[in-house]
Amino acid sequence: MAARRKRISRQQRWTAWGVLTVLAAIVVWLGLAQSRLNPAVLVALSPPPPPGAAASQASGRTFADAAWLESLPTAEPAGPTESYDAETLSDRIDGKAELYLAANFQEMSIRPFRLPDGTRLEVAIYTQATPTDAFAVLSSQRRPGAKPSPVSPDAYATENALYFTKGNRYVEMTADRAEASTGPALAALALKLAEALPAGDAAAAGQGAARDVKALFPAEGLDPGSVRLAASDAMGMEGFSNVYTAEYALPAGPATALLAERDTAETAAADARAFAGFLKQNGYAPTPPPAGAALPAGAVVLGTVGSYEILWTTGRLLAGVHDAVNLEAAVELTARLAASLKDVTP
Amino acid sequence: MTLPKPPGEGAATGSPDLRQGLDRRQFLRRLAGASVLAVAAGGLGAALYDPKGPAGAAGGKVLASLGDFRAAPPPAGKPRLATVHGADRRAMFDLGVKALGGMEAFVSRGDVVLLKVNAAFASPAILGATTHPDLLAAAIEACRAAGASRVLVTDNPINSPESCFEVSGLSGAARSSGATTLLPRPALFSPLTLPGGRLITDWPVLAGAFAGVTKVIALAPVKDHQRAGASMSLKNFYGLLGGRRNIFHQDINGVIAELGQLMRPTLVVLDGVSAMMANGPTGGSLADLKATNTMIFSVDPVAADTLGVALLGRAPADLPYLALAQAAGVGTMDVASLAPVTLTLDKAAG
Amino acid sequence: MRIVVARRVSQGFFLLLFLWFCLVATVGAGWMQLRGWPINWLLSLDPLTALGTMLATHTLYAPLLWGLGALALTLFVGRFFCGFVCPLGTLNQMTGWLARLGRAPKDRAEDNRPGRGQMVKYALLAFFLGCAALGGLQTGLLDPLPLVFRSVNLALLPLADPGVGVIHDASRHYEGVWWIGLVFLAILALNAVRPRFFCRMICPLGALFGLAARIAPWRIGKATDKSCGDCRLCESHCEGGCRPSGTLVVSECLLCCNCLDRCPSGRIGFSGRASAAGETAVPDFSRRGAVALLAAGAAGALAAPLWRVEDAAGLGRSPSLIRPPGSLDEERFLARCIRCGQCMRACPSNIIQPSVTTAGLIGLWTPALNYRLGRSGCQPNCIACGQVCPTAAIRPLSLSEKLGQGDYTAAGPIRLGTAFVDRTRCLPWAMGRPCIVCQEVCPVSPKAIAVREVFEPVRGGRLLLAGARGSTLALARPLAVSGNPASGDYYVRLLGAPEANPVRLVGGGATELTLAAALPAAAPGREVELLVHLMQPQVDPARCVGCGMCEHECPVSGLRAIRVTSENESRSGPGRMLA
Repeated sequence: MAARRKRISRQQRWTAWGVLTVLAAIVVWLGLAQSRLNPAVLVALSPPPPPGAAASQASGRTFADAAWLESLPTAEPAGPTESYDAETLSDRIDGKAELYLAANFQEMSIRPFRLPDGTRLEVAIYTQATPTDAFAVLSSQRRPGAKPSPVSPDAYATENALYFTKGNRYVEMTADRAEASTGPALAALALKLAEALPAGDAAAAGQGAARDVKALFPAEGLDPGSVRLAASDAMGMEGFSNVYTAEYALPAGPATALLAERDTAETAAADARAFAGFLKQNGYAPTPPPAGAALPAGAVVLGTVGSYEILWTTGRLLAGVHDAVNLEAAVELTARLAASLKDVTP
Repeated sequence: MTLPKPPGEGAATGSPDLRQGLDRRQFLRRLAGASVLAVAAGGLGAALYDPKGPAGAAGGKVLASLGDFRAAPPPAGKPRLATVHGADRRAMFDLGVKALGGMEAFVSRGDVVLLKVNAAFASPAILGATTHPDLLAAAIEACRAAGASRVLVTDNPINSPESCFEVSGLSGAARSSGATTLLPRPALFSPLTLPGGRLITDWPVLAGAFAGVTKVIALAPVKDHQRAGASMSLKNFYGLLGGRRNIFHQDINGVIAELGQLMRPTLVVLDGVSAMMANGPTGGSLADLKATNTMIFSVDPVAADTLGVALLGRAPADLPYLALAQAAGVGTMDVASLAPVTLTLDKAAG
Repeated sequence: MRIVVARRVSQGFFLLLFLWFCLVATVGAGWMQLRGWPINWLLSLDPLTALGTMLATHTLYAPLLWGLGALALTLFVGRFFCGFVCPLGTLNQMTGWLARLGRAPKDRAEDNRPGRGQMVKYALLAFFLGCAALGGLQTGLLDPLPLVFRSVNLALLPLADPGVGVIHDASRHYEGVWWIGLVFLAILALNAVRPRFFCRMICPLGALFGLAARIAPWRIGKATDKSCGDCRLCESHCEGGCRPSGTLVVSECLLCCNCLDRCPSGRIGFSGRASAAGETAVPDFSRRGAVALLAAGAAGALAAPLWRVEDAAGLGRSPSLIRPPGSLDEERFLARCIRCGQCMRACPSNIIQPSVTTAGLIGLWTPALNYRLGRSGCQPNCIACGQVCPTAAIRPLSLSEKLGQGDYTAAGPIRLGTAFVDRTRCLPWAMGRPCIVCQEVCPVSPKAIAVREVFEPVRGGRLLLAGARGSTLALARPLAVSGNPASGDYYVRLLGAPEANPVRLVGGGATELTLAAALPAAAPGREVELLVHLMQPQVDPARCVGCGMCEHECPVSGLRAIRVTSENESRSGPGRMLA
């Protein structure tokens, strides 16, 4: 070591500094290069492409409902609109798609929005074939503890969400928070959207001589939020479709009224027989009505421990009382429902 | 470029001028050499430069067809399909070809003829799982008599090719009649994509066997086939495929219809002197065979198979690939449109 | 500043840069993550990779142009890469120096005497290039850059993870990585035998640079041939073993510049002329060297078919050899893969593994997917492996190409293989136990796994009724079946009524069963059978992409009951499983 020369040549010095300069240049280049993110990083940072986008691209179809989500008053769009048809709906709402498909689902569009106060919400518009179908999807998934909302006759709201139908469309608005201002904000937005959505011509939508069956339930004792339409497999019976139910609180105990309109009186009668048969299969037995009870003509009374059913038809209407806790309640509701149907043209 | 100063002062001593001159010349030589090599490396790099990276598929040339070998159609009204009844394959072959205008109508002087046999299994001729050597010999001799310059025999069998051609007697017949047997080897296969094809896409086919070939005659036995219903002239073309072709059994009718579009033969000969009635396509027992004493000669493989299926006691409707092939323009199931003739060996000989 | 100081700074810089590139190869945008760091740059600087892939593929993938630049500079100034850049060279130099602390200069000089062993690397280079020319690229086995990346990334880095969590929170696993680590340790240990043992004797990249350095116009050398005594201080730290005191072995000089620095009389310099004390080079092309080199090259060329004897890339391919998404077909893959391990390092799922036997000897340490060892299947939303492959053996896929979306809709998704259900091991198929995890985790939309719903009689589930009241059944004998009958997966049906709808069990004790609804016609004295509701998985091969999520999650944890093999993989082209 000691023998090492102290003096070094100019060439050596320059070369050494040259090497260091190159290293410095590399450092600068690295500094620049690292800011251009690798495609793998870009992919990892961006959310996966929504299957809906791919599906609409692939199928090449256009979704009319996407247009209603172009802009909403006071709400800023916070992402692209995604649309789904019957084939792709399960990509979006796996597990619940069946409910919509059974009620003649046509298309769905969904888009995230942001309100001025920072609330994030998603608005989904489901188009079903008819207003009845739209009501069926609304009523069959009514949330417990929901309150009616003035947006539409069947609208209801929870702390952070609002659900309504307009014509053959069912709309869900779900916010990411449940503050005092959330409900009114949602309602205001829903009113605007409901105004914009077309009413839907009931006759054109295949309702025939449209009759609002659910209006036939007598008002007294009715829990207004309990009116439901089962589009298919009502009461667990396969093939028993388009049945309205409404829950009543009666002095004798709770009971449910049911109503279904059929194309002909024969079909209505056949459906009533089939449902009675189904009940018998499941352990219900014919039960004598209490003496003095004035039942509609042809009414069938079935019962098992703690559950009673009364079924009859009037013209094209199939009516009944379902799952009454005792015979008294069943008979009382029968009387009320029969009275309400008395003035209806069969 | 400047020459760096040599370090230290020692360089100045010694025999300075001579040394420096030598050094300078050597330096320049090396500098030139290094520059040439660097430029060469750069040039090679530029020539082979691939900015995009490799493509997903290997790529390369892909064929669209193995060729159309059909002869000029005969004058209207002349038969284009002949059925010969008898038991002697050589005599039946001569008679059948004569009925269609003689071998000269198909093979001209100087033609190179490829005979596509069915050599699928290493099974002796007597079991009827392969083209009969007598038929092959008759065909080779007829081609040579018509002036063919070369006659080739090929197939891509299921069992090992050497065994198949030897055990079936086809190699022997080819040797003794003066034809060359082309055994399939990897170099003979090239990828082919059938225009409009659904199954045969970028698929290796026995294209090398068709090099220089001007006429193709297909010689097929009539056999029961578990999956396809029957193996006759169209199914015989399966032997032109390479690769793991048995995946096509998932859509056997579709692939047979596509095989008909792969290559248009000059003539097909369907040998139903004995037909394999059951346990096809391998057979294995004489009990599987039945003497059906028929040989069909046709310019149209669809028509030949439409007739031939009757030998197995089945109807053309039992073979969905016939209608598919007809729809694809391979041929016609309307046999009458080919002005068919029927001959019987004994009568004609007499 | 002395040139040796600059050299040490440069070596330290590139060693740290190398370690930094290893450290940050985790997918992410953080500073210590992949971001845009050019983690392949050092690999791209390697001209042996460029030359090998050029011979094997007849193309030069764009990033490898760097390598030609390094080679071109070597043609002018000699083996600067070995002396100033190579991280493995630096590690070798450091271990060699440590092993010789306190040794006398004479002893050191003795260790640095040129030896015949230095010929070996040229033979290895010729051998590897011979292989590459016939399509079997094997340079990566000994090429120092792939070797050091593979060793540090796979064998050393995971040691920093468990418990410490330097890079990953969970520990990383690599199949057979012991061998990679042992080779690396052996290379470092050999520096005790001779300084820079690997660089002098084995390194094929050094050999390539050595050939280029022969023509370099600028070189290290003695300025005068006057006798300079016998101090040999110049050789006491000569890294290349190139005899600067006497006839210089010019191809072996690594440009460590220690001779230049240590010569007490300043006789040694770096200049544009030959060493005054004479020069030579190995191998000597005029003599046996050329023969040996030719023989090695021929051996390499002849070995190409030898690699293929087992046909591990063709008919003999293991069905469990699943390459990362975007991999070329096996033939072209093996013409490019340098076994650097970057894909294995970057894979967030840790499923890309260095193959020990799966890919055959020809594919030693090439990447193969192992869905059991990793942390998940191949994630649909990830394209890391192709983006970090330095040679495009794994093509740099875009996400839409991987998923078969957008422009690639017609081509469909990249398939790695197909999942097969092993019905003899699958719980719902073989053992009457509900499961269906594989279907749930299948990320393909619509799912590639369908379910077949069945009600199967349970062993010991034939029950005699003592009573039936509404939806409650009383049993004549206590229930004795395995499993939990009240779990909701169990149903009852009257014996001998196979057409009747089974009724779900919702609860019950040993002698009483509660049903979801009344069981029609149930009465004392009648028998019912207990059924288990099973969903049995079935793979739709037309939809399955072989991502292995199902195999990874299968609760049959040993030999999985659903396993992916390479059938129907995209890269094999025609001849896949489906027509």
